[in-house]
Amino acid sequence: MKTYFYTYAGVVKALDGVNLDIRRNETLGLVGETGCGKSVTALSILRIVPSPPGRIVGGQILFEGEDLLKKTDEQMQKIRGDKIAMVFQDPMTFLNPVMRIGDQVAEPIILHQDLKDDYIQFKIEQLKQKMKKKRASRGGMDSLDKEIRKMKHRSLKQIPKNDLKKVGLRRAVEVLKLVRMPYPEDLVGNYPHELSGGMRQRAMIAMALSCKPAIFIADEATTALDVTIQAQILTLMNELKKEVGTTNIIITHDMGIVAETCDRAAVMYAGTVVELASVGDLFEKKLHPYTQGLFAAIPKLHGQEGRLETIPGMVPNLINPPTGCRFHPRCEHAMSICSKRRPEMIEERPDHFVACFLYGK
Amino acid sequence: MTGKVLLQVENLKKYFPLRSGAIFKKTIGHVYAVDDVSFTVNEGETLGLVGESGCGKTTLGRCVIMLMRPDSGKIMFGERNLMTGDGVPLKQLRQETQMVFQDPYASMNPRWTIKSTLTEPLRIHHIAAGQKATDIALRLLKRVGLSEDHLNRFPHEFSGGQRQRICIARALLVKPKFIVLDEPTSSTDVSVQAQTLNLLKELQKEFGLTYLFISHNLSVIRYMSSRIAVMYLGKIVEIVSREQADDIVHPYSKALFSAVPVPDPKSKVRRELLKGEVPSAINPPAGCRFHPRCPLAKEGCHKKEPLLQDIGKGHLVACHEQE
Repeated sequence: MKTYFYTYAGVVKALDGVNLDIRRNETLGLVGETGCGKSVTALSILRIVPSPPGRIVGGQILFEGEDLLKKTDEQMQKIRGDKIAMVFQDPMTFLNPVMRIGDQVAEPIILHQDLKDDYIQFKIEQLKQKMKKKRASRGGMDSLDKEIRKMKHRSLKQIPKNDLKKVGLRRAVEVLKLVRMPYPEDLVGNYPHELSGGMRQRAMIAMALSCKPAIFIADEATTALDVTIQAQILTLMNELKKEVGTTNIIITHDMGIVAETCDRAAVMYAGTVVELASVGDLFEKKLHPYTQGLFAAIPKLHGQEGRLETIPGMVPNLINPPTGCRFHPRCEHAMSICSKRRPEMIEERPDHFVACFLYGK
Repeated sequence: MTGKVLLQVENLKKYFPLRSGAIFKKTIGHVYAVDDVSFTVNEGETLGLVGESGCGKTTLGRCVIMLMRPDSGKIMFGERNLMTGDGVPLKQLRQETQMVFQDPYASMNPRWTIKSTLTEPLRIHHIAAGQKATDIALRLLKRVGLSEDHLNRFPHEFSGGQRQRICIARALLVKPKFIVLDEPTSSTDVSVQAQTLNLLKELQKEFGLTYLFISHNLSVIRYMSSRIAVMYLGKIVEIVSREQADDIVHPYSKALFSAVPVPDPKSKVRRELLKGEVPSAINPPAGCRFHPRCPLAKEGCHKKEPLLQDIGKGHLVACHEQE
C-alpha cells in the first residue's frame, strides 16, 4: 500500500509499499518510532487519512476478500465502527466534549445494529410497568397480554427516535459494563471532561467494541495514561479479545506492550515494514539491523549497566527518503547494493520475514 | 561521589489555593501538591524522583531550586538555607542550580537564534560577553553533539532531540553544581532518548554534576539514578538505592514497578493491579494517602499517616505495615 501526503514542502511518501497480512483472531503489533507510518497504516485501512493532503495512491486492502479501496463512501461508513473499529491515543481529543458519554457509546450501536428485538423488549417492559401501576383486574391483564403478543409479531419499520435513544443507551450500559467501567448507569449522563483519563479510554474502547467488530485497532491507546492505569487497560484489552473474539491491531512504540499483548509484530521504519514475525521469534532473533538497534536502545527495568546502544543519525525526511533501503545511511552493515535497490521481504526463517540484503541468497 | 550532602530538604510544603467568587475571591480549599516532603541529595549522585501525573514531582523539582517559593519547610543547599537566603542573593543560586524542562520547544525563545539563547546566561551572570561568550557557547554546543552552523539557526529548525541537547548545553554554561531535569526525554523516541541519557551521564562525570531526575518512566529512572524516591499524592512513600530497587516494599512502589510492561514475551508477569483511580490532591484520603487503593490496608491506616522510616541501609519506607 502506498499513501502519500501532498504538502507545500513536497510529497511526503508516508507509506511506500507496505505489505501486511493480519490473521483471524490474532493480535498484530505495529511497532516503530515517530514518523514510521504506523498510524497512517491504520488510518489508511479505515480510509480516514485526511485528504487533502493525504491520498492512498496505490495498493489494495483486502478485508474478508473484498478490496476496501474500491468501496464507496457509503459502504465504508457501514464498515467503520461496525466491522472495523479504532481507538485513538488521546481520549480527550477524540471524544466529543459536548456530548454525554452514554450517547457517544450508543451512537455506533444505533447506527449499525438492528435494535428491533431490543425495542420490543423495551416496550414489553414498559407495558408491564403500566400493568403494575394500574393494578389491573383480570380482564385488564388479559387485554395487556394480548397487546404484548401483538407487539412480538408486529413488523417494525421505524422505531420512534426517542425510544431509539433509550434503547441504544441500555445497550451502551451493557458495553460499559463489559469494559469494567465503574457505576455505568450513573456515568452515562456525564461529559468526557468529568471522567478521568482511564475512564475516558474505557469509554472509547466501549464505543469501538459496541458492535463486536471483526477488527479492533488501538493506536497508542495507552500512551497518554499513567502506567498503573495503562496496566489496567492492557489487561482489559487482553481479556476482551477473548470475550468478544476480535482480531486486534495494536500500534505502539513500546516493546513492553508488544510483548504483553501481541502474537505477531511488524517493525516499521520510514514508511516500510522491515521485519514481521511472531513475538517470540522477533524478540529472540532480531534479524533486521534497525530492530536490533531499537531493542538495544531500550533501558531495562531490571539491571542495566553501561551505556545504552544508540542508532547513529536521525529518522530520514520522507519527502526525499534515502534511495534503496531507507535504513542504509544509519546501518553499520550497509553494503553497496543497499543504496541502489529496495530489499524485498523474504521468509528468512519459518514465518519470520525480513527486508534486508544481509539475508537471502 | 564525595558522600557529602549537597541538598537537604526538610518538611517541604507547597499548597496551591483554590479561589472562587467573582469579586471577592475567597479561598475555598487547597491543592496539596507537596505535603511535608523530606529527603537529601548527595554530591555527585542522581536522585530519581518517580511518580504518576499529579503526584507533585514537578512542583517539588521547582521548589527545591526556588523557582517556586515553598509555603514552609527548610532547604539547605550546601551550608545555606535557601528559604531565608542567608544573605546570599537569589541570582547566585540561579548560577549554582539549573533546570532542564520537559518541553524543549517551550523553554526556548522561538525568535532568538541559538547563539542568543546560549550567550544570554553568560551575559546575565557576567561570566563573559561578545566573542568570548560565543566561544564558550560554541564549545558546549559541540560537546552536546551539534556544530557551528547551528548557532545562527532558530529553534523550530531543529528536531526534538536536538532542542533538548541545546537546553542541556544552556544549563551547563554557567557551571552549575546541581541540575533538576524534569522529564527531559519524555517527548522523544527511544533511540533519541538513548542518545540524550548517555550524554547526561557523560556530562555528569565530566563536570561533577548532581542531578535531580524527575520522570514517570521507571526504566529510565532505574537506568539514570543512584537512588530512587517514589512519590504519591504529594508525599514520598519510599526511597531506595539502585541496588535496593529489587527489594521495594511499599505497596504503591510495588504496583508501580510491576505495572511497567516488560519487553520479554517469555516473562510471566504477575501484575499487582491497583484498583480504582488516583484520588484528588484537593481532598486527599485521611491517614495514609494510599490506603483506599492499598491491598494491605488494615485498621490503623486511615487514622494515622505513616512516617518515612529507615528499615536498613538507608532504605526508607512510609508504611504502617513496615513499622
